[in-house]
Amino acid sequence: MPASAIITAIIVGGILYGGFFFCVRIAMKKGHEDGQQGDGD
Amino acid sequence: MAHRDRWASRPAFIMAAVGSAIGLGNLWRFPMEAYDNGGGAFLIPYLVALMTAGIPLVILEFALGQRFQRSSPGSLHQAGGKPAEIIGWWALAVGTTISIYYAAIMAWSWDYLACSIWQPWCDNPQAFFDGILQVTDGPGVIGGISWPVLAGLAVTWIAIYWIIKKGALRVGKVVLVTVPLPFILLVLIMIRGLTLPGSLEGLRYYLTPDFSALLNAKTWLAAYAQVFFSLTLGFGVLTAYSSYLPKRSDVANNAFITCFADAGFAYFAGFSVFSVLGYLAQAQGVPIADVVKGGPGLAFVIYPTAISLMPLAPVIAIMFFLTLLTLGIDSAFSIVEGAIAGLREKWHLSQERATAIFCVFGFLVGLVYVTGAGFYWLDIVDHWMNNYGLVVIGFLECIAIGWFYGARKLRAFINEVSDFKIGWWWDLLITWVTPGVLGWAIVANMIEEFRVPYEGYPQWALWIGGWGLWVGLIAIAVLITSIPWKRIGKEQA
Repeated sequence: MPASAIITAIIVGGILYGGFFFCVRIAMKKGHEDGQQGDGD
Repeated sequence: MAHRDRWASRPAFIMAAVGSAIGLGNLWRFPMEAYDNGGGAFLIPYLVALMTAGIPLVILEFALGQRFQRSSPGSLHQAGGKPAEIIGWWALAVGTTISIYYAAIMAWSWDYLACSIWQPWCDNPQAFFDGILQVTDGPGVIGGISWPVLAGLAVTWIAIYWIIKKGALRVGKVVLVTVPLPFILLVLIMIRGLTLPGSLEGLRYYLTPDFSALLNAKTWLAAYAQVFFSLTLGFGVLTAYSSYLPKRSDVANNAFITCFADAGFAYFAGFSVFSVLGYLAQAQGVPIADVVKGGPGLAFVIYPTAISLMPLAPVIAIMFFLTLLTLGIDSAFSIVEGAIAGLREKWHLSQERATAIFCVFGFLVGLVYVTGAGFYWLDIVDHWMNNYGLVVIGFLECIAIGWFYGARKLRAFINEVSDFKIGWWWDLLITWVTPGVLGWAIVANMIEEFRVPYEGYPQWALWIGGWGLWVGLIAIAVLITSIPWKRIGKEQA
């Protein structure tokens, strides 16, 4: 397996899965804050 | 205000949106597009397309539903009046057409799942596929009805009816199974694939970048098309789903999560597909290029061939076809739900009644696809609905919001309710970049269409199943728009 393929796999995987978990973390943090403040919906 | 269906929670909504976005295309389209367009280098334009068209359009469709608390036609009506409403109905008409043939593809999956223990496709997978479908010589030779496919079609529509007749609450429960299950199954298939000889050679084909492909316009067009088709854009599904959220819920972060999950799944599916293709090439002693195939050919011919050569083949076969079914079912019922949401609002039908009418209609029209010529008609309709239905709808949505309603106005709403704010870049993308790229794709596809008849089909078939159907759906959209919204009390447009 060439190094370029491995580097590609890691960078793209990092962006996609890193982006996904980062956004989920923000949502969970926000949900937690909203829960503490009381949900106005 | 009349009672509106609601998601049980934000995670339920996200799971449903992700389930809708992740479909059969993630498994059989993305890996092949990557392979055909520079391998690992394709992932660069793919990420650019995701950021500049996929995410902005998902934000737009989510924001429309949430801002106006209505389905796609209702939201567009409020945003841009009757001309914009036509786009919404056209989206639902195209979605309905796609859901009908999608159900037929799922019917094939049911048949293959039923055969998985004995694997009768081992001797000649292509002949078995043609035999199950009873494929004739061309779209003009209707042939007989394939009873196994008819039975699978009935099972599919009954499943869709059962899932969505109770609305968002039941959908929210079903996606808790149908979204993670294919991912888990695919992980198991990938682990099996990676332990087989030749799998790393397959991954080498998938991931090794050929950067010269980036200089080819076709690569960029393919990346934008992949992102667009993969995210269930232009169906009105995302707008309908988000309209079941309270108005003050997040928009931007939900869109990012949905898009990353969809792209992440497609990327991951590539590992599963190419490890198995590498094994198949090695087992048959041929180059990988000889076994690579996308679309239904990958799922129903190439993959079964590879599975039949593996140890524990029946178990892997059951896992694979369950993956196909669970991937397909949430996309299928989301498209149906998007259409039903519009019909319910327009005529104030109950969810159960609208679902029943739609499913019976879908089953009856879908009978076309259980005939011997069904495979050809499915191929033609699929090509036109994707390239000239969904893409044109996406283009028109950008024009309606970016140029007439005002991207800035919608962005102000998005920023008011979202976990994080989006900047002026979104206005720029929705007003100029995304419609520009989609417009380019439409023109490029049309030029190619008139130069070479699609797949060599006879012109009369392309005019009926392609342009004829396309114009017919626009006429239906105009007709429905001309009917006034049924009013209840003081609400409604």
